[in-house]
Amino acid sequence: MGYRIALIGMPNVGKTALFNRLTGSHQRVANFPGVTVEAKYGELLQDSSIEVIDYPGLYSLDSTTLDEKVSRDFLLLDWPHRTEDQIVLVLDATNLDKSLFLAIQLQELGYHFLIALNLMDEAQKRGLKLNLSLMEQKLGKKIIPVSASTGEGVTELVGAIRSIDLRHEKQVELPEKKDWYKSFRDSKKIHHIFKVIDHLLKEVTLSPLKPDRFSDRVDQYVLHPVWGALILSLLLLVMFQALFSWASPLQDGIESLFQLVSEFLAPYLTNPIFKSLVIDGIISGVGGVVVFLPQILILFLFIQFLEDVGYLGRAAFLMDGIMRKLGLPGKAIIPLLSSHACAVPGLMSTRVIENNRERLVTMMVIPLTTCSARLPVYAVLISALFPAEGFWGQNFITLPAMVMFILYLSGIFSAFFMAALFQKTLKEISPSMLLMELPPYRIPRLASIVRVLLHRGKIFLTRAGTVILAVSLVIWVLMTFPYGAPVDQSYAAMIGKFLTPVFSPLGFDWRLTTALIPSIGAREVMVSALSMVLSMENHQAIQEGVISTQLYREFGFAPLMALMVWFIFAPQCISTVATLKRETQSYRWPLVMIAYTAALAYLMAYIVHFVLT
Amino acid sequence: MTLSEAPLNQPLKVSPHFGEKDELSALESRLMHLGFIHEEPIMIRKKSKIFGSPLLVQVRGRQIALTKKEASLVPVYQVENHGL
Repeated sequence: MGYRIALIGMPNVGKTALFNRLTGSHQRVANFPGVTVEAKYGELLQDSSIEVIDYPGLYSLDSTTLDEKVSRDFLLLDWPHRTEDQIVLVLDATNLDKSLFLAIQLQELGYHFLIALNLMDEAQKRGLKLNLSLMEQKLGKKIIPVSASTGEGVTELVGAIRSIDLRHEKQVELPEKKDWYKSFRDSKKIHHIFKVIDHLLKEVTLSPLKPDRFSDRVDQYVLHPVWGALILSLLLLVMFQALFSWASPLQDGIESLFQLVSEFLAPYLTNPIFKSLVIDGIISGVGGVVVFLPQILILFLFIQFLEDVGYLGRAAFLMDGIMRKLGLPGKAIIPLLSSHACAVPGLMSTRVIENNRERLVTMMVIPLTTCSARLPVYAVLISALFPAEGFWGQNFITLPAMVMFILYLSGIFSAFFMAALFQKTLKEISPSMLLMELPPYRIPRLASIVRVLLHRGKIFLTRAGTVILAVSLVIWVLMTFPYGAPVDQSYAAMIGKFLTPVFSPLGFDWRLTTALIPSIGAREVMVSALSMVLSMENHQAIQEGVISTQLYREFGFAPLMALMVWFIFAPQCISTVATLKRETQSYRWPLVMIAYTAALAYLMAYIVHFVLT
Repeated sequence: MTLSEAPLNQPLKVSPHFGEKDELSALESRLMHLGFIHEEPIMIRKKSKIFGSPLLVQVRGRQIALTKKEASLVPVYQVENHGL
């Protein structure tokens, strides 16, 4: 009969690395029913009838976060009643004092489980010698020393998993659900467990673990107020540079590749509507999804490397003081900076924030930062509105540069403002805390980083990508049909005209309103949409910069200023919305985000237009 | 004295009264799970006065980062020497 193995353990014990060793590439990712917490399912490499599930890390049965609750509920509600559910408890040999807590807690309640003693090779290098057979005897559990990073001991673990006796009767004495907190938060019991751990470790330790002097020495610099800040700034600068500059040749490459495909297919497509569907709809839609991949992969390469090294916690430590004053946790610095390149990788990178409430707050304000897709729109509007004259000194600081700077600042400022507001309204979700252990520094493994990159890329393409493609097809339909009609009679223009009364207080006429519609697909499309509603030849308009003068002549100062302000806050592109939906697993938060950014944009644009006229 | 007011690099112990109540808050419980239990020897390793930055505290061989507010929940007292 097939059965399930739940991998349970504290955070940072190498559970996921062990999961990868056990299942190889036979994995699938889904969410635990009803919650946003991601679950990894896999089949045991040597025996496909055994399913392995990677549960989120938990400190003890007293759980505070959503992730921990999933694991707790499995342990307390599911396991006792399901014969086919078995537990492998993963312990960190370099931090036994910590990871034994859960082991003792479960053992005393009567759970049976197999112990995988991970990181045993590293612990041995640091001088740890354990009397394992005595430890097995004292705990009454089988212990298998493993090293998830080298694969040592995995065969033995698999052997032990396959010989688990399913007939073993499950008899646990659990408190009633209403008494969970009282029972697992009892300070007397916590003290008792630590005493048991002290006693056990004294008995089984033949030679103790030497303290991690290396991490201490590195931290002298990394956590130093001056050197530490310098190292962090340098790392963030490299990340920022990578997202902006190093990703762009790859993005250009992807765009020209899709261009080539279009050119290759064009001669074979004789029906003009079908040709437009394939080239302007499908190929450019798929291209519009794939083009995000370089930034996502580069960002996650960077983050995963820092995470595996053990640096991310240090970055949080350094930034927490300043960031918390601004309503966000220290770790939010990474998503917040990356979202200046693009909100999509920015939203995905909020996973570095463990706390649900703080992660949600960070996600909600990310779309306010000035992403690079806004730049072409700003550039066109600024050159229409402000002459490129020296503002201060000769040409040292120019007016357009100042305006661009103010636009960036407005984005950041409003993000912090909204963060403070959300922090106040979302209090009930979970307590906000920094409280965490700084892990020792470790050498990262390329294979595990690559695995994360593939995983993130795949999830983006399948979950968010499909929505993005669907919406871009809808926009193509709106812009193209009725087929052959002039631009002011397209469906998009009809919607634009219908919505004009709503936008006219901002000074937008039907043309500006219509141009807003395709910008839902991607903000930078706004530029070509503007040239379209002005009935200009696309390439001529963009390349020669004629569009700016034309815009100013057609619309005037106040409406264009209002449009620029509108773009600071809204519209949210569909990629952002789809990613937010995927990351929060709900419709509620994307809707809240659309609503609040639209309201903010409308209000600010209205004020600007009102003041200027 | 609470942990947030305690001096840097001085031997400290968690007060025997920490956690001495019927219902612990989530934060207090997490602090205890991380090793802040009564009479446990601890030491503040880092703290910065700028921006009210967090503290780094050594407890049971681990480095724990926590904010001043979180640290203010833990009553401590100074001892002569505890070998950390």
